[in-house]
Amino acid sequence: MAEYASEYDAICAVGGDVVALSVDARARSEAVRADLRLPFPILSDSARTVVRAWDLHNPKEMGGIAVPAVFVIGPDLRIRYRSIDTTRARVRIDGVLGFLRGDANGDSIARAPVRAGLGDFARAIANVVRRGLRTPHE
Amino acid sequence: MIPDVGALAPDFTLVDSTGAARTLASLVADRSLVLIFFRGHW
Repeated sequence: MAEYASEYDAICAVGGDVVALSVDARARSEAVRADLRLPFPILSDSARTVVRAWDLHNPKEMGGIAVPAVFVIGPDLRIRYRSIDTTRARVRIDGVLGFLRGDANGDSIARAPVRAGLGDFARAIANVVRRGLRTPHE
Repeated sequence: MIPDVGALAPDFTLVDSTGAARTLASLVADRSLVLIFFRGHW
């Protein structure tokens, strides 16, 4: 998500905006937003209502979490692009930005392997220490 | 079924991390909205 923060101004410049959604409780989402200095909101779907309605609920991990995915929704509320991703490969932000600019069609946007760095592991450990593990009933 | 390209996005109302209620329609307004579903914190 940090990459969307880095490119947020460019996304807004082409008439776009960004919102993120997870099943984390509101306070955890706010902590993530502050940690990553995200300039866009994070929605809290702690009841899993939306991830179920959109068929993006992964019940096998950590009490049920969202399947990673990115959608571009037009002003008419129609879905213009979607990428259903995995923990190992995600759609590239430059591809999404190109799509918003009109430079790329949805079929040509590449996915890139997700490579967790030392900083990601350090942040994960720090989050567990500070906030504990997620529980199924959170 | 996961909503596909060309389909109407199912609307919803959720609270954001500050506690404000947001609908999908209000977030889209007159723009193209990038909606990111993510796993949440580690």
